[in-house]
Amino acid sequence: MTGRENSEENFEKQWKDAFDEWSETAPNTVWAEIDRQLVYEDLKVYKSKLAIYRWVAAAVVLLGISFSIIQYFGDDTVHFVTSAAIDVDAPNPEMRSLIALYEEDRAGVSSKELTKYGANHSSSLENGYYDYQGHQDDSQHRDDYLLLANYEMKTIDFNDPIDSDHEDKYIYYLPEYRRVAKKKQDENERYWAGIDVSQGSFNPNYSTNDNSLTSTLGISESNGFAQYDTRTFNSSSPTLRENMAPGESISMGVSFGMKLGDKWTLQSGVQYAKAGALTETNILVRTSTLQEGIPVTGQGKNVPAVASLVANENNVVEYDFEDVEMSNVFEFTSIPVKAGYLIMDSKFKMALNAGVVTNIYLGNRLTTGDSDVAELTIGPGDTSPYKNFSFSGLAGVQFGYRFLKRMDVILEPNYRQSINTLTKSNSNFKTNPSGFALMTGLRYNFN
Amino acid sequence: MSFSDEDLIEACSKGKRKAQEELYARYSSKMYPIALRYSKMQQEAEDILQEAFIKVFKNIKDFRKDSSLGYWIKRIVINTALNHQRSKLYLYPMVDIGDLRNHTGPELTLSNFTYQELLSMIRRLPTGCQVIFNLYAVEGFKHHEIAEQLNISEGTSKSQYARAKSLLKEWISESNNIDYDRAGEF
Repeated sequence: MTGRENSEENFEKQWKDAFDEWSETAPNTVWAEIDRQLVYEDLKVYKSKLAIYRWVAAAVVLLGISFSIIQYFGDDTVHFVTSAAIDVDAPNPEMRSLIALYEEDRAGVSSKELTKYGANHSSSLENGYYDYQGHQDDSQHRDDYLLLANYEMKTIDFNDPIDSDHEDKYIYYLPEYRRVAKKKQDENERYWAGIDVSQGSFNPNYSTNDNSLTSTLGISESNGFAQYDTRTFNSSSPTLRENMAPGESISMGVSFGMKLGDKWTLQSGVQYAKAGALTETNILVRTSTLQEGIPVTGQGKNVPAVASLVANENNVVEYDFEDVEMSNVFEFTSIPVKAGYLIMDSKFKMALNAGVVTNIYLGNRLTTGDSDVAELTIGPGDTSPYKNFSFSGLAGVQFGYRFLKRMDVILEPNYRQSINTLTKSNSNFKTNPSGFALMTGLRYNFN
Repeated sequence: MSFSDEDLIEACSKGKRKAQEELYARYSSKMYPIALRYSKMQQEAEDILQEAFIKVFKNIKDFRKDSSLGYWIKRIVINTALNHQRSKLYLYPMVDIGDLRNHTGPELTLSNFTYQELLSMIRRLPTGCQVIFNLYAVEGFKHHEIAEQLNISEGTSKSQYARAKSLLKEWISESNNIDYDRAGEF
């Protein structure tokens, strides 16, 4: 290797060495922007989940409607093969009637009439025979179609041509495809009771105009509040970024209902519901008495344990800039009252339901998997930011299928939207929850 | 509490924000200079770093561990920077390769320069020269590898690099002469 080449390589090595050891901290705004984008990405995942729920609900509705139309307008198709052979040389009156009927049937008389006619005359017919093959609900068809039960039997072999000798002596009933009306449900069943479970989305629709640490948690410098983290904030009143992102909901309960006439229903019940959201905040408050940091959220403002800590002047309060995500689980007892309009009421049922749900707030709990962050439990009552009672509108399409004698399985995609805000007027934030859900359950019908 | 890279990878794969922040804190200070070297302005470097780490968090579940995590992140930062510059790159052969071999001069040393001064020199280079100089001299890629990455000919890569090197040597010499002149005044 020449000296010049050595020199060239040395030049590159110097540059490489110079930058290899170089490190420089990026401005904090870079991570803040990454964090913001990651939250946005999380939200997109939620939205895609929500979209899946919507598509599943739409698919269920579409399938249900399609199936219902087929069930409602299309009777069961029965492959019914009948052959009859009657000695036409000396027919008795019943036989002549049957022959006449056959001719009429060929001319357009419905097979249903033939059935009725034949059934009335079967007992007195002689020297005839029949064969049949019912492909659905044999027992029912046997009752309906034993019109020639006592007569000589012969099965037509469709592979063999019919003997010309028999043309004068036999009437051949060729294969028929009949539509038999579906069996109606017992019209005496007017009441039902059941159990159901539901799963879906929960969007708290959170909003706040308050981004002040002081007003959100009620702490101030006069209480000994001091700056703790200098990385981002240089103010004793840092900007609070609080949010409540959507999550999922589950519920279970009992329901009961009744028919109001042929088409209308009224139902109610009691449900226990859990609705999850993701509360995000960027500040932890630290006190001299509590090892864990208190996440700054408007939900905890009046929680007695928190209020006593931050209001005490002897309790040194600091803040720590740290992004915290908390699982925020609300618990409710819900009482829905729904009116329904029955679009179909047979083995398969379909109803449009709409009503009002009374939500009794039981409490909510904010937790993280981090032992450094205090958990907050917010119960109902005067100190809670949430109302004890709130109301939601509910609309859905309910499908039912009779799978046992008196038992239906039901499926209902529905949508809930709060009618009034879940939060009290003096709270520094608002939530107007909404969400899609898919409810399924069992229902026992009785008179 | 300190996490190992394996723990961080697993936690980041699950979308744990604390782990993502920890991973960023651990590697961003080494990656930021890379972004600075491939950009003309600080804001552009910040955009590259931000975009690269978003890609890291999105794709970390696919990280195969056949290289170190740091190297994998570095490749993402470089690729992101190249994507940023791609629209500005108009790469073509700039000088005759034969001319480079005749280039002679005194051996230059960089020890008199600060990081910021070296960075300024790299940023003064035309965009194509800047990118190829970074890839060849600092990252250590071969010309045929650079040609493949940027979809250019190997000759173009060599000539762009030669131009970059020539300019840098010129600026370094000028700076050294200024320094020598100043030293002579006293």
